[in-house]
Amino acid sequence: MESYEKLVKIGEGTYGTVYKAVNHDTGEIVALKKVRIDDENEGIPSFALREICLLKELKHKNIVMLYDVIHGNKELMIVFEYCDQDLKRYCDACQGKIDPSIVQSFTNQLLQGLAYCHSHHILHRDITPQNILVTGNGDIKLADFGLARNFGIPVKSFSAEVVTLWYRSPDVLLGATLYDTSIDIWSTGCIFAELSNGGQPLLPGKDVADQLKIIFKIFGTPNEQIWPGVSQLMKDKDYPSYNAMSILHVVPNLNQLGCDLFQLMMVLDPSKRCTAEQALQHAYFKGVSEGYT
Amino acid sequence: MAVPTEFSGVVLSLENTIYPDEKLQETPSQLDGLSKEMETNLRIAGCEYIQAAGILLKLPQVAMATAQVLYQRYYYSKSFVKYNYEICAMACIFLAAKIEEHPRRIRDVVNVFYHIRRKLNELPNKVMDYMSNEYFHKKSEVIKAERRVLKELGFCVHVKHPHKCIVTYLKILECNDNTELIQKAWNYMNDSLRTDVFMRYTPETIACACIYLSARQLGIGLPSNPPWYEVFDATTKEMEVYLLIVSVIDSVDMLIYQVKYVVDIIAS
Repeated sequence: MESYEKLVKIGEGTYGTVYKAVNHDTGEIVALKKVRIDDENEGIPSFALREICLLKELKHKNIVMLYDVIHGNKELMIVFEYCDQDLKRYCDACQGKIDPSIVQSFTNQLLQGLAYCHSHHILHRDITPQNILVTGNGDIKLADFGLARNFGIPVKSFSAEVVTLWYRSPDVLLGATLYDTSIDIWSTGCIFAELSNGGQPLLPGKDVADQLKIIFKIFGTPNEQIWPGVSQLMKDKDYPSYNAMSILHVVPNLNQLGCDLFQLMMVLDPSKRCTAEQALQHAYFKGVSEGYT
Repeated sequence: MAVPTEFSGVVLSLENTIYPDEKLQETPSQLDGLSKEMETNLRIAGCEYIQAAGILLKLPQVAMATAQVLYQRYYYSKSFVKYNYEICAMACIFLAAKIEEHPRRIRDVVNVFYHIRRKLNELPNKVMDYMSNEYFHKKSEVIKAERRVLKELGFCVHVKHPHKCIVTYLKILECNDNTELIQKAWNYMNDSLRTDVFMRYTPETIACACIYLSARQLGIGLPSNPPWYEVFDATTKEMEVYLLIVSVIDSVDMLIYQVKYVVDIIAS
């Protein structure tokens, strides 16, 4: 603990405070996440537990690196690699204009990190611009695995309260408790559109009902033909019936190939949504650059 | 860029940790002078406690299974002489409930163990006083123990269980309609959690051994040329399976009266 000196508070995470700090032994800049544990509460928070367990097993250039866990007296310090900012702040600073090559590169890196997680049987479950970090070199790092889970073990139902509302997939919004890697793809598709639209969130719903309405307005209200089994999920409520909008109005700045990929990622029926691996093979990413060029 | 710090030299992977034979032979408890027999009993007792508490806490079986594996692993790093087995069992079930996404309040965990202990001592039912020193002391002990377990295991607390393998393998062997066979294999699996086989073998091997044993007992023939289990995992050597079977049988025989004892208490 002595070898780290806190420089500045970066923010408040899902649990505890995050600091920018310097390791005096190596001179390296790191991010320190402080998790309070006292005898008054329920021991180590499950958020922290999951994040540490899973991140320890994930080593990939597009996933934030966990360096160490330091056991203090009343707290745990999680040491992460330091990144300059999150994607939300990056977008805000762009003031409505993001270069198409950056959109392509960021989406590609995001999918690479995701494909790696999924190949290790880990769902992120909370992909949002706040949880994606951008380094000074334009590298994208997936972070905040507090909601992530390992799906290698047989589990009957997963918690339905996952993913920040705007990035939540229609099946989860409709109350599905059995979901898979497709929920992360939906979130990534939302961010893909958000980047191409200069940082404008694609589906900014106010609550669950409003979120579904916005989704159906753009992608059309689903029925048994396009999504077998959906009527079971929709039986408790009446939803207005919309026809899908032209994709050109949704993501006007994407080229033909980009629109095509976007549509593959945003299929309402989760079983028909493309996988991260398939998305990476898409022609849209031909000649993609890594980071800034 | 600096090389990331290794976590106390623990090797990280999503696969279960398999310990080398030396580590399983010379345990910290035995180095502290505890007899092998006593250690085995404490391992079984802790696992029984976990199983019983898990039932009372209405946890799914996977949480008990994870807790039992954590408990067993911990005592290959630490000694029963220095660390109280009951507190550790409480910490393991408390932690496993979080890992498996069925968190339970620490208060409930403490109380359930208190209840079981009173039953064991044939005392009348009583709820623990939540304002008492005894309660505060226990609670703080468990939270400390939880952190010790995490630190000792280097946060490698995901356990891959063979339950799913059993189901998948039986399907491939076209035996998935035989409920008796499935149940028997499943029972062997749950019983073997009280032993150290999970530190010795991969989940795939354990699944094969449980099926092998059950099929033999029920007189069900499975392909033997080539042996069926070689199909499922290249590392499943016949010898390995054999050793495993022996250790399962041994421990199950030894277990039976102890299992019955605690189960009776729960049922009452």
